[in-house]
Order: sequence, then structure tokens, then C-alpha cells
Amino acid sequence: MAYVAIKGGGQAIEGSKAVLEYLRTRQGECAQPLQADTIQNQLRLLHGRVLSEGGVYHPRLASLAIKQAQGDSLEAAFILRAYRSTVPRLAETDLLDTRNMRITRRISSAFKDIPGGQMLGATTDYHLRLMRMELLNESPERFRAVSGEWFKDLNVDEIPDTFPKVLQQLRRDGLLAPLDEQRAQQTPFDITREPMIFPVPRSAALATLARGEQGSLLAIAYSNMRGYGDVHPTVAELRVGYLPVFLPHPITGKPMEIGEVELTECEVVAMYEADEEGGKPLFTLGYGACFGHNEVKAISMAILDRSLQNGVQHGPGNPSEDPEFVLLHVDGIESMGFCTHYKMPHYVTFQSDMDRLRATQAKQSQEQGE
Amino acid sequence: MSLAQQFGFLDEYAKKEIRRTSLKAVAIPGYQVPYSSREMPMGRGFGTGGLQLTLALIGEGEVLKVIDQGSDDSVNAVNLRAFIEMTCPGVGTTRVTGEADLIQSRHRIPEKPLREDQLLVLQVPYPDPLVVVEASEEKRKQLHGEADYSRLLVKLYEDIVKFDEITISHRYPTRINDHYVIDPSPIPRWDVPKLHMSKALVLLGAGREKKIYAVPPYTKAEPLAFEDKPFRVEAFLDERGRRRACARCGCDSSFLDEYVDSNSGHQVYRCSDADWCDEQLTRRSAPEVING
Amino acid sequence: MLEVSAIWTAQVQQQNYRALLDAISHPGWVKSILHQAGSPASTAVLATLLDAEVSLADPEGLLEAADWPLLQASTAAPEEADYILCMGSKAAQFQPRLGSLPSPEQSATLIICVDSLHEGELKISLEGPGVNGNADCAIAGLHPDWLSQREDWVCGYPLGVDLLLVDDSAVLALPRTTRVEVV
Ligand SMILES: [Zn+2]
Repeated sequence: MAYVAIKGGGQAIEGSKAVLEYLRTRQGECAQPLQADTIQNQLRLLHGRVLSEGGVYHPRLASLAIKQAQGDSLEAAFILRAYRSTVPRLAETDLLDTRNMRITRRISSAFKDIPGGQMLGATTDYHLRLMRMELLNESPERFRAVSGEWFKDLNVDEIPDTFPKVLQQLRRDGLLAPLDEQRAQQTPFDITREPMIFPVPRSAALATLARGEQGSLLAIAYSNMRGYGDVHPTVAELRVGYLPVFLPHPITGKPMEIGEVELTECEVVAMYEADEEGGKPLFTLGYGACFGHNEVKAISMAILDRSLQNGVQHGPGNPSEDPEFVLLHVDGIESMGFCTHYKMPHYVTFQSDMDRLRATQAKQSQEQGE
Repeated sequence: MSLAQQFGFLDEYAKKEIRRTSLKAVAIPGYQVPYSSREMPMGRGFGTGGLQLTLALIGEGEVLKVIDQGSDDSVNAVNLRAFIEMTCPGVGTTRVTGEADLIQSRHRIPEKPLREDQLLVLQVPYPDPLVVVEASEEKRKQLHGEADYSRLLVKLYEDIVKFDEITISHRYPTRINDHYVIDPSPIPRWDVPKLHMSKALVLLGAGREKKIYAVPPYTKAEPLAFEDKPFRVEAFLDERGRRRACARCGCDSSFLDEYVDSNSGHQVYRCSDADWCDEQLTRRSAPEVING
Repeated sequence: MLEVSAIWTAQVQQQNYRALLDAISHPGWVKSILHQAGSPASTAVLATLLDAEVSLADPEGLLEAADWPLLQASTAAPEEADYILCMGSKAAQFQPRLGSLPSPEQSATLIICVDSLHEGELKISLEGPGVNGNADCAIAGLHPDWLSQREDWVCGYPLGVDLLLVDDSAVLALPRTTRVEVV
């Protein structure tokens, strides 16, 4: 007679590890094992997504996580996030100004022409989604040819180092509230160090969204776009590029550049609101930013930032305006973990469930018998 | 590239936060103290809250027992124990309840009464019993503060009106020290009375929901009920109304798992607590050895 | 006695944490604290609990200046602080944070330095969660006003403060739930 099915768990886990490892390598001896650099470059958008959801800017470990997770972005972000738990936070950067971004792409859907100019950059937005069959059979020579061609005509000097922000113009024209310098000085809420007790400051919401799972952000933002909400955003500016990061020098205290992070940033302008103190009505703003090149995420985040601010101001009228609803459900590591846990044994609780059902059934048949 | 890992996996700051939080949890029995909750290398929902507590608690020379569904051999228990063995050199592990200094468990409290010098860590998926009547955490925190559980009691009462029974099977709402009502984690009702005036400290950790709470030793823990509808543990009665016994060790006072025998097709009952079952079996067979 | 600086090591902090956890789980128990020669046990308690995320008030200036940077905690007035280091022989001159109804944990923990937790003129009997029946203690160097002030602070449960009484080598805890009677 078979005894407890859960016995021998240790052996089962070892077996499972072995088969997983076999599947990872089953392409066999003719295969080229994936290199970290290959993942970072050829799967750069997946890589950026894992960096952003993992919440640590460590490109090499993000590549490793993708390889190890066999391409599952949730699992890879999870591995990166768990690594984060083992490293102490040693220093804090000063406030970084995204005007200093080394831009690779920058657009505005609000104005035809913007100071510094629109820069379409790398996007699939206007590509026909047709199969490029020739990629099934690519040679390393072709890789070299493409990059050689690209650098041949590139005039690096023509590209300005920095671009002004579109919002500056709107502020100057009095259509948008001026920057709150005082708030910019406040220490932001660190969601990795402090538990979120609602209501939470906007910085806590932004941090949560910034490492939120792309699909979750998109789904809730989309509900707002479709009519469960009324943000009606206009993309004032979307920029992608590399932002230099500064840390104070340990001895002199002077800021020194320690590297740069790839970032996508989106600022949406939304329907104007009457000023409560009787001033002129102004446009409202939603902000989104995340590691890596991920425009869907940055735009979704900007819309959610706006809808959450609406919710805080007027009381939530729909899910996307409810801070608890949005912020407690967008983290991919948490949601996938909990979803996965239902596969674990629940024998004991199910035993209790059966006990209650039988007791209730017995009562009913007793009553019907009477 | 090798990543050196320190004792207990978590960085010392993370442990300090958990330690501060657990002290407040004991000082305010049953209150869910929020903490930031680091990501662990296993899924949220697989015991990351309990694990963070264990890692912050445990030190060299201590002996740990890990159980899932009453069994030390369940895949998740094996996994958690292996992780702790890997990250906490000098920590011993055991399957024997009486030998453990620290017990981390999911869904069960051992049958063998715990001692004052032992400590039980329970893994919690849903820490807040009020979530069934109030979705907003902000409002729930206010209700807890005021010890206002009227809506929860109404919910229980509605059950009785509908089914003439309280239908809550596990995670039974339990009032601690006459104030906070806790979700005691998905332990069966069978285990709830073990919390009352327990000799051992019970710490509960919800990693995903980022809460730690406690039932201190010698503290009242009373399941919510009504005078005419008392709280009842699982009955395990057979068709003739007699208490079923474990088919392996013969114990008729333990929580039982129900199986279908793959050969006969009949239902079979066995102790859910594997160590308890072993102990009862040894105890029962010991005199036979002496006599034989 | 330990080598200088051992109270800042992970291993000693883990053991001292367990002593604190035992103490707060069993009000009335006197638990030994590992500490370094010539430095009070209260510093070892602070080293176990504090880091840059929390604030400390030291109204009597009991803490060595050299220990502040090691603790990393920010300084705060006693009315604002998460942890307050106090001198037991002198009655409190402040109103600590008691937390709020939804967040009672946002209250102060007081570390009160006393002369002895083993014998003394103040005899008290304790009751409440963690105490099996009741527990009797004798303390030297705790101004009687502390107990009446504590009464005021903990009467609005779950609001309150939690007290850690520390002598030169041990700790005794009085969490907010403990009922104290002078005998
Ligand atoms: Zn048995």
C-alpha cells in the first residue's frame, strides 16, 4: 500500500533539478551555450525588462539570470531580486537629472517640433510585423557588415550631449504647475527598507511601479485607458538613453560619475484640473521611468502615476485609481510566487475543508430525514 | 563568478529589521507588525516570511526542524531545510520535535506539546482575518486598533444561519490576549487550541504581505465562536460515530490525513504529523519487544 | 567578558537578540547580555537593535561618543525617537511616542539603565502575556516614578511603550501588556 505521497521529497527535488538542467542543455553538442554578452545585446529588451523588474542594475547578472531561468522573465527578475537581498545598501546617489541623459530616442506626441528636435531612434512602432525569414539563417559576417555600415556614416559630433525637457516649455507657458523645489529636497520613500503603510507618499508609489511587472502595469493602465478611469494622457515626452550616475566621493564628498544606467522615461500630460485655491486651472502630470528600454512600461507607469494621484485627491473611482489595489498587485515576484505556491501540497487544509463539508452535509440530511 | 554568501543569507541590516519587528510583535500580541520583507530565493508563498524569521533568529549550535503538512519529507520542507543548511553552517537539523530548538512549519503545529525553551515559526500566506470583510488595509488597521470585529462575527453568524454550522475549516480567526484577532495561518482547527497558553513562543511571518506577528507564551488565544455554536475541531468520526485511529500507529488523538488505498480503493487514515506517528509506533511496539 | 568590539559582530548580536526575545516573551526573566569589558550592557543592546533606519535619543548623554557612528542611528529628541536610552535613577522628563491606534508599533522602546536586576529595594510582581501566573522581581536603581509614568503610557492599549531594563550584564523586559504591582 502506498504511504504518504510526499515522502521522498528530497529525491524528487534532485530528479527535478536534473531534468530541468537536461532541458536547458538538450540542444546537445552542436549547440553554442548562450553567452552573457549575447543575451545583453541580442535579447536587449528582455534583458532590460529583467533589470527593471529585478530592481538591481547589474547587466551581467541579469544576463545570467535570463540564461539560468531559460528565458522566463518573471523567474529571471526573481533571481536578480533575491540576489539583491544579500547585498547591503552602502550609499545613496544624489538626485539625478534626466536632462543629462545621453539620448538614443526621444519623441513628443504633444508638439510637432520640440526644442532639440524629435529623434525617432530604435523603435518597431512603424515596422510591419512581417516575418524576416532571412534571420533564420544568419552568419557572423552579416553582423559585422551591419555594424560596419552603421558606423561608416555616423557623425557623432552632430548629436548634442543633452536635450531640454518638453515640460520646461509648458511650465514656462504657465500651462503646468512649476516644479516643487521643496518636495525635490525630501528623502524619497525606500520601498526596500520600509514597509508600505497606506496612505503612502507618491515616491513609494513610483518606486513600486518602477520595478513592477510590465504586463501587470499594462493591464491596469489599459483598464484606465479603456474607460475605467479618465486620464486621457498625451505623451509630452518619451526619452530613452543613458543617464550618468553620481555618488559622493568617499573622501572629498564631491560627486563623481560611477557609471551610467539605461533608462526609459515618460512624462504624460493629462486633463486639466481647477486649482483648489482659486488659481488658474492647469494641466496635470504623470511620470514613468524604468531601467532598460521599455516604452510600454514607462507609459503605463506614467498613466498609473496620474490615475493614482487622481485617486488620492478625489477618492478612488475605479481600480486604477486605488493605491492599495494597484501597488499591492503589480509586483511580478510577489504575484508569480503566490500563484506558484498553489501547486504545493495543501493536504491538511483540504482535510479540514472536507471535515466541514461532511459535517454540513450530515446536518442537512439529518434535517431532511426528520 | 562566485557570489560569497554570509551566514543566514540575509544582510545584517535585513536581520536587524526583522529582529526589531519581532520584538514589537511579541510586545503587542496578535498585532501584525509591518516590515519591508526582502526577497528570498524561493517563491513568495513558499514560506519566505517564516524563512526570514528563522534566518534572523537562528545561530550556530542550534537545532532546527522544518515541517510542511506535518511532514519533514515534503518537497517544500526539504527545500527550505537544504537552504538553511547551506546558508547557516553550524546549525543542526532534526526530524524529532523534542530535539528541536526552533521549528519552522507550514500548516501544522506539532502534536507533541512544545516546551518553554522551544520556538515555533509559522509560515503565513494571508495574515489578516479581516480581509474577508474589508478590502482596504488602511481601514482594517483602524478596525484592528479598535478591536472592532463585529463584521467578522456577523460573517460567522451568517454561516450558521445558512448551514447551521460554522463553515471555516482552517485559518480559524483567533483572538489573542482579548484584543487582536489573528489569522493563525492555515493550520487546521485541530491545532488552534495549541496556541492557547502555549509554553513556546509562536512567531508568524507573512513574507509576501510583509507582516510579522506573535502569540507570546502563556497568552490567551481564543477562537471566535458563539455560545450556542461553539468552536469545534475536526471530528474524524467513522460511520458509527467512533473516533478514527491512525492505521499505522493506532493513535486516536492526532490529526489524520485521509488517503484512498490504491489497492483496495478504501479510505485510509494516518497521522498527519510524521514524527508523532513514529513516536507512537515506537512506544506501542516497545512493550512487545520487552515481552517477546 | 568579550574582546573589545565583539558586540558589533553578527554572531554576538544574534545571541543578544535571542536574549532580548526571551526577555520580552517572558516578562520577569532576567537574561544575560554578552557585552564587552568596561562598556555597559545597554550598549550591547543598542548595537543589537539599531542601524541607520531608526533614531535614538540619549537625553542623559549616557552613550560614549565613539559608539554613535558605530550604531549609525540618527539622533532625535525623546519625544520623537524610536529608542530612548534612559537613566533609571532619574525619573523621565519626557513624553515618549506611544504609537497610534492603527500603528501601535510606531512607539518608543525605552532602554533603562538600572543598578541591579537581581536584588534591590524595589520589589514588583508581574502578570500578563508571557508570565506563567505571576513573576516576582527585585530591582535596584529604578526611580519609583518610572512605574507610575509607565502606567500613564500603557493605559490606552494597544498604544504604549516597551521597557527594557538593563543592569551591567543582563536585561529584563516590561512590554506594554505587563501588569506591574509594587509589593
Ligand atoms: Zn500514526
